[in-house]
Amino acid sequence: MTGADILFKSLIKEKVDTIFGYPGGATIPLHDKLKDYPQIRHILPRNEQGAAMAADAYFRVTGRPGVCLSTSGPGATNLLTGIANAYMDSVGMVAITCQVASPFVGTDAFQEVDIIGMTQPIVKHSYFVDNINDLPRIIKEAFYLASTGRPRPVHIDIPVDLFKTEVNKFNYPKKISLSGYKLPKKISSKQINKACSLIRKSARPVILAGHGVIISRASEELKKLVESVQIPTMTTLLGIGAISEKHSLNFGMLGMHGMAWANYAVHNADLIIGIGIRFDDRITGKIEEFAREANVIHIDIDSAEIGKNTLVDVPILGDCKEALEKINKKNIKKSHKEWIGKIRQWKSKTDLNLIKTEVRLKKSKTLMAQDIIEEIDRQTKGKATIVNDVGQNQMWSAQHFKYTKPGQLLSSGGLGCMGYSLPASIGAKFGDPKADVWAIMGDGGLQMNIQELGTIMEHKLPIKIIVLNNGYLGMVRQWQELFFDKNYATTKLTNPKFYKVAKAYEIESYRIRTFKDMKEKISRAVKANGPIFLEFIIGSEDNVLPMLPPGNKLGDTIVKR
Amino acid sequence: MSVENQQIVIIKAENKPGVLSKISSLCRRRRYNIKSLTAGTTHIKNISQVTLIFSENEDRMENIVNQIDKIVEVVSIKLVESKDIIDKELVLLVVKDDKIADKILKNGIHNVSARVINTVGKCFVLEIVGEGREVDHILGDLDFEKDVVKMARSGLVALEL
Ligand SMILES: Cc1ncc(C[n+]2csc(CCOP(=O)(O)OP(=O)(O)O)c2C)c(N)n1
Repeated sequence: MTGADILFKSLIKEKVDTIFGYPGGATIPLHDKLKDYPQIRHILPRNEQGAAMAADAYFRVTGRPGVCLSTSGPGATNLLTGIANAYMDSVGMVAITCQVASPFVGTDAFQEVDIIGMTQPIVKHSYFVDNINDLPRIIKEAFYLASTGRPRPVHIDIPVDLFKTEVNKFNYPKKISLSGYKLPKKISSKQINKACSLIRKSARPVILAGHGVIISRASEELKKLVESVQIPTMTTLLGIGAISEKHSLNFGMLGMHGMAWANYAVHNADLIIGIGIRFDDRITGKIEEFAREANVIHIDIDSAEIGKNTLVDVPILGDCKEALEKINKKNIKKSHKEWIGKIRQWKSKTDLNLIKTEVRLKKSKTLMAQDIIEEIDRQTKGKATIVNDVGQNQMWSAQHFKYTKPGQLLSSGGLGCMGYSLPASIGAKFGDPKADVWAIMGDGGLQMNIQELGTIMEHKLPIKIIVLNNGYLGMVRQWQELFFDKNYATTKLTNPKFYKVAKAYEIESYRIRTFKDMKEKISRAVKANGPIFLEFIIGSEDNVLPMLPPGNKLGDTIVKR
Repeated sequence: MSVENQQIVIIKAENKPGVLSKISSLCRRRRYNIKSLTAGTTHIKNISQVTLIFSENEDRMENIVNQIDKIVEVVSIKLVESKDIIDKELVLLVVKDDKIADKILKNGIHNVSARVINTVGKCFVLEIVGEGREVDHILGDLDFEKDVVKMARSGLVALEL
């Protein structure tokens, strides 16, 4: 038995069934043993960034840490963007990089980089493995850290010679001893009582639900609270699906491209209950004006998030689900009819359908992204799993699909990383083969990781690839239009015929320009058993609205250009 | 820098490679100014103590304390008040001549222990040990351009009582 066996055996102990990995000089002795472990499926992306992003999505659909693997040097640095993405979005991941052989570490050997130094600010914890006998313990700790408390990536760097080291016994530890790792203790009932008294007193409360609700699987408890206390609820981008968007008290996404009425409601609230959210600048708007007249209750598992961006009146440190259960036990019953009526009024004036034509400069017959997303919603009966990219396509697909379940939208929120959708859709499909995965992206984002069409081809993954082609780096163009006098510097794209590229990958593909064809091809995609690629030519200067211009308060959200 | 916005933090951490670098780069990344950082062993096996002095206002401190606390090797962290600790700092100081050395050795106001440990030509090498604040005062009385040849400070080490 060698060190390579030790790694695979340890991963199997952690019930790892999939590794997204890419080989290189430092992984050969490891990959050499792969054939002995048929329980582990090894998926080769076409760039290590794809491995990290697929592992990220694997966590988001399964709740178990995704595993990605790379060789030393360039393989490892290619992982970085995907690791950063996972870190920002609280995604559990175990990233394994192979390193040059121990005697060469620190000598600037061929393909050596200080990858531990580079991942340090974007991981929860990292390990450099000195001795192969430490590896089982390290793997055990890594999975524990990545999946408990606030999930985040953990990095392990292993010199290649350790994989060749002969080992006599494989002993997997039973216990974990991490004296410095602090998980939140039981939630203080004093804080719960304080929160409840604020809830009882408030006349205009709102709940802001974030990714934390989904991670802690607290949707049922959230719904219970929302209904018994009748609190209007908004979600962050990553909180979408925490409560069904068909629920009458869910007023949708808030923030920079959130629903105008949701933003107005938060601006006018007298109590803000933030659950599993970070009060990130994209949802608070101008922070000095945020929650000026409101008390704030903040429930989060990470003590460093509480009070970081906004003043908090009642901090509740702990797991969202546990906190919500405790609040629900207090059985508060309220109605807030007037307040809800007020929000519905705002909604009736700024509904997405009413402002639809505002997103377009002049009348034209070109397809609108909004219609495409709505058609996908209709034809999949709202059941699709959407993996979107970054930019306008991200906001349109967040706004115009009615999400009903946690984990139904996978999105690069905190990092806002173009190129996420294609590799993440692969990870989602491997993690949850039953999911009907639709990857939605712009023409810019497609080209960030277009090579992953190769992975989709290889595994004949029935992923629906939707490209919203506006010929621009659309979201940046929108900012240039609105705030830089239409100086479209560097944002016009010179593109190939993408559907032909997809054809070269043997993927069924179409370029679509008309409404009728759009409906037809989406229906084809719904029925497709293999991958299908739909390139929609949409209005080149369509905008995303509503919009909260940067530096403004939530109350200033605009619904016209 | 005034003493008012000086914040003292005592960290106990597992004695593992990279811990100091994690703490210091976390402070850099979140734009906290470190005035002094010292580290050494404690009476507990494998547990080191880091004494960190920030020049920051108190209202910024809660977040960095919580952030550092998340480092897996950090066993405990505490923002302390000067009245709850004893602190000491060592200064090695080379002064130009005996007059300057005398001024330091015979000062009656500041409570430090100072002694001559060597001479180099006409210069005197002094060792000064005292509470951080007292050491600051003693050094504050010196004219670094005229009086001092060289200086090195250990940084503050603190012990909670
Ligand atoms: C890796 C990366 N590089 C740059 C950006 C900055 N950026 C944000 S949105 C955007 C435009 C995206 O264009 P496209 O993919 O065509 O999507 P659209 O906005 O047109 O839907 C850019 C360049 C980013 N978010 N990520």
